[in-house]
Amino acid sequence: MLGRLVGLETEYAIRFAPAAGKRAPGNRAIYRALAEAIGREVSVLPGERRGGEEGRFFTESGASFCYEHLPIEPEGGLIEAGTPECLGPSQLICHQKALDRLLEKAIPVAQQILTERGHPGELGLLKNCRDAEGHIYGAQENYEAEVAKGLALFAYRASLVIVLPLVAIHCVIAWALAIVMMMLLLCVGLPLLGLAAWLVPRWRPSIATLFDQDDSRFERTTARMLWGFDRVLSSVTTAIAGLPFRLFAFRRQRRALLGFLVSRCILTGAGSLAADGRFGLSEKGPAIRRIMRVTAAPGDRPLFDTGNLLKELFGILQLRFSSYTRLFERCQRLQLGLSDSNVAQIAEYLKVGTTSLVLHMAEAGLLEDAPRPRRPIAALHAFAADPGLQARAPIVRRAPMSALEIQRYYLDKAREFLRSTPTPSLEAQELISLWGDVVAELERAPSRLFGVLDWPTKLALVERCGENARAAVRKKVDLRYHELGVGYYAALESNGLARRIVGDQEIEEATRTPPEQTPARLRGELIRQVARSGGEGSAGWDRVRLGKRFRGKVIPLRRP
Amino acid sequence: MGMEPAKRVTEDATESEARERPLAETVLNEIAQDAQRDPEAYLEQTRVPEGGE
Repeated sequence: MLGRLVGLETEYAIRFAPAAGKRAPGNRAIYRALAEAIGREVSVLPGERRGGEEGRFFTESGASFCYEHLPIEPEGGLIEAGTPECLGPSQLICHQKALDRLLEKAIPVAQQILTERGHPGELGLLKNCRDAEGHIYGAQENYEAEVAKGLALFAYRASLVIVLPLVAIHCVIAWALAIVMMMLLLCVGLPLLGLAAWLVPRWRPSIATLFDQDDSRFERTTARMLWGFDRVLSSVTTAIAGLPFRLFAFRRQRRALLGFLVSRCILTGAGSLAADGRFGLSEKGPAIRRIMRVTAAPGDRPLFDTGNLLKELFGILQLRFSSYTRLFERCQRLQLGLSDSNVAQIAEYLKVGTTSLVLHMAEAGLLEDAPRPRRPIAALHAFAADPGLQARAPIVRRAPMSALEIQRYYLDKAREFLRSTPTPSLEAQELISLWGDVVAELERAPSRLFGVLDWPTKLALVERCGENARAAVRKKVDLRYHELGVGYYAALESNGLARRIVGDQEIEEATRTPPEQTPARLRGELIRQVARSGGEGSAGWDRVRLGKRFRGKVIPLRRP
Repeated sequence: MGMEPAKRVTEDATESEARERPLAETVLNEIAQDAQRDPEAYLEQTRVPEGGE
């Protein structure tokens, strides 16, 4: 019932307060220090090189870290951590907490490394989705799901074949552009700079700063140019090449899940103070712009994100043909862009658990009459903006419903499903019971869920500052609530004021132990093996290479 | 992975609330005090540059 592969990707924002008179290092240098610190704690193996990723490595638990940034902002990136593929929500919550724990332990070590490299200061990481200026980043959820079946599966596969020539043309143009740009740079740009430096000596320092390793304006400028070309090219091709996904992928699940997902923020919202000072349930919810991704641009912000499938499709650009053929498999990764980063364990568990369960019911055809909001994005925004839980949204062929009523519908369906299942899993029973308790408490008084769900907890902390508190003070509560180890939720948890469902020992074990019966198991074992033997290798989500690049033995990772 | 029972969400609410109240007051006061400490600097330190998102 809950036995599907699930995973979370979480972006952590970096906070660095340099010591008096010192300069903060770029985020890239901070990431390198954190990566080094994690490598001292657990066995790691570098990731296989893939475009757009930097510094990826995998740990012996099968998890992965990388430095995620846009080409135009190499020093302004975030730490991305991906859980290993887990079999069900309880495994996943444990491994997500293990990633938080690894980073928490790495912070003081990385701080020391940075001090030794001339950057003394205080380092922190925030597991959140929105900064003080409203920039959005954060979490994504991944669920293994049947992409389509019957005629729809045939149409999906056929359309993948039809769009292939377009993808190939895109690749040829992209490569040609990159080559032309490089030639112009090497044959015209660099000689001109050299000539300028030779003719005008006082320009030399300025020209030298272009190539400064810590703050390379040259790198940023060239990346900005290439990024600009790529965006123009990609916006056209991804809009067309992404049609197989928009038209045929996960149609059944999307239809059945829509009402559930737009109302889910009452359970899983992290809470957020908007620029006007009003408190909303979700950090990401208000930023969601569309139901399905249309272009590859980060600002697309869809609820269902097909970015992972588009990456596979355009893997051809990096000569990864196997990523294209993998798209033809029946099971694919359904990715949700609408996902807040939770620090409350129960909120995070409910997020993945209830979604897995609803997906299961959708695939079993039990949600044909699920409430469908007439305007889903407007409904999401209305629910996310209403901590009173009174907002109602128009529903197709039904009276308007509140988020609580929609959740109640799915909960009742889950209970019905549980009763009709001859041998329901213990975990499913516990999950539904927990879901029921939380919905009942939300109906009674959300404030009773202090220390259980994120948004009621954060709301109570913000209110505690008083009505007359300055906006900056209230916003600090909003942000520092999420800081690993020393944040406000961490303070509640360490004082026993927040409920936990996984203990310290399990979390500690999960930092080193990959989840059973998943591809992560073999990955983790191989990483440990290579690390202990002192050999070379690299890891990926779908394979591990033992030995040197192009020469080593490649071991594919499949679900056992 | 042995999870602790889900019933913990609502069990013994009154009893545990009474036990936790003085501690909660202290922790919440500490949080409120910390939030007063140079919040503008904190917001600046946690800013994700445009495009970094």
